[in-house]
Amino acid sequence: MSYLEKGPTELFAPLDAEPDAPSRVDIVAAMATGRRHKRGRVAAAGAAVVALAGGTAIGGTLAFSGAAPEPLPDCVAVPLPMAGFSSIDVTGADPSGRYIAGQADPVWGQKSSVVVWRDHEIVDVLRRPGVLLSDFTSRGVGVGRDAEQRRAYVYRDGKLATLDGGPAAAFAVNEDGVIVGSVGDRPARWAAAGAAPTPLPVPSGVTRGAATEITDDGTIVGWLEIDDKFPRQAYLWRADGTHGPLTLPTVDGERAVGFEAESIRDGWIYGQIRVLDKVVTAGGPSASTAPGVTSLTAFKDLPFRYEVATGRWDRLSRPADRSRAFFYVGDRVLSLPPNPEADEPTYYTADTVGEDGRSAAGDDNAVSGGLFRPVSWQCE
Amino acid sequence: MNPSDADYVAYVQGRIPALRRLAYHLCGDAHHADDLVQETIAKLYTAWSRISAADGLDQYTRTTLVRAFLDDRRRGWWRVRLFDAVPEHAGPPPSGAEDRVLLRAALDKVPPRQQAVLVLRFLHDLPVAEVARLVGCSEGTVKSQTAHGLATMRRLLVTWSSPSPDRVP
Repeated sequence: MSYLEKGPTELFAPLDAEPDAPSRVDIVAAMATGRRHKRGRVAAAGAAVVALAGGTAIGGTLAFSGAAPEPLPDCVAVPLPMAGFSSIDVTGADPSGRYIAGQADPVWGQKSSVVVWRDHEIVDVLRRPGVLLSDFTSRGVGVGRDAEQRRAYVYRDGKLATLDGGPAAAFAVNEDGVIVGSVGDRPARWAAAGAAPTPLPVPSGVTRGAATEITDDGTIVGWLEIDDKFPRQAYLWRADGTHGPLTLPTVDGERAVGFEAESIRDGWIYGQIRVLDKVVTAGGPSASTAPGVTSLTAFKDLPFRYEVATGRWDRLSRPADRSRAFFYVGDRVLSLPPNPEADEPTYYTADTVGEDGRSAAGDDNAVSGGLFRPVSWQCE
Repeated sequence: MNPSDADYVAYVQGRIPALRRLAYHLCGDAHHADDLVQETIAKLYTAWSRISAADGLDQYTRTTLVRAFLDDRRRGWWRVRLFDAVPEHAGPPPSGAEDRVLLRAALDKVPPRQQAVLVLRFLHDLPVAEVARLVGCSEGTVKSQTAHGLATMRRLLVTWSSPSPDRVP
């Protein structure tokens, strides 16, 4: 019988299937999210969460039959002072959340400034247009770059100094003061702020790349573009000196085409797996804006984490309320409360997450005006 | 755990299989379906004290899920990137793909509200009036969306399953 002859119910019958993956729905997390909505801010953990974590038979992450998970920490949003600026984009923080950096007047064409907070108070405002600090040690040493990635910078004792290396960018620093970034568009490492950079080993054919994260044991994560192919590939330099690309997982029967690493914590790299979605051929509404482009490829990004020690991939959930900033505690979503001073609908981004998952910093971007207001989240 | 929370957990535990199934039928992806259910039960918890004793709890929950699906499509999680060549896995489903794959691909091609209407009417056997309440439109709109969606899907299915080499929709 052809598709034209079948009645609607008969036509749809093959789609009447059960989900083809075990449930990841988490009642405990849903209650925690709902509680935040009700109170408008995070308050103390409710009795229900405590009871579930204590091992009662109900609740927990339904996909697993083991012990119920620990309750997620409670977080409080602290608006950061703005020193008279109307817009500050948070750009980096140290592992404890004590030191936070931002870029005031961050819009292209404005003369931006570097702002540094310690314990939620401003300690420095440096009029250095285009410069941003993306990472700190817990002793307050920061690293960063300018917008064109012509120079790499170190911030120490209230001053910015350039790192050796000519056209360079610094992205991250660990507690030992080892800095990673790029020199001449290739991944590089500085053993210390005063040291000359050394290139990180890469496979042949690399046209661009950078190291973007480093852990205290020396594990480095970055990305490479090989033969100018898109999308770029995530690359791992292990502490034992071995290195290689991350072997990408198969997602719903399709091989992933890329992975964008966003952070590394507790032996896991968190980021977005990119899979092909669908193609729109030229002639569609967007084609006229891109002369010479023959087709548009749509990718969808799916949150995943990668365990460095084992190469295991875990697919992660997205937060229930996507206007909120969030980060992952293990494989669970911790949604963060809004800025209590926000007076209009707002979307939030957490730009940095503390090493212990107990702090984060980011900003809101007001729906009207597009101003960034910096926020620190402290969790316990 | 207070009695209200215990009621909530009991209710949600009982409803999760059906909610996952509906979400899976709507979006076609088990993981995305779980995200929709997670969002739905979080919203349900927020409203629990207001509605738990009221009639229509199932309808409230289903409505929340359907609206979450429609909102999700409207916000768009898909990121479009410029690309100068058609990649290997792009395009319509491969020839010879099983009915279910073709149907899913065709359903994905119709607008989200039509998808919701078709799934609710023909996979969940809900009457037009109920679908109208869930989707948030008039009964007449449900009927017209049903007709448009079905016509689009049938056209795509016939095109894809024909042996012609020009079967790109």
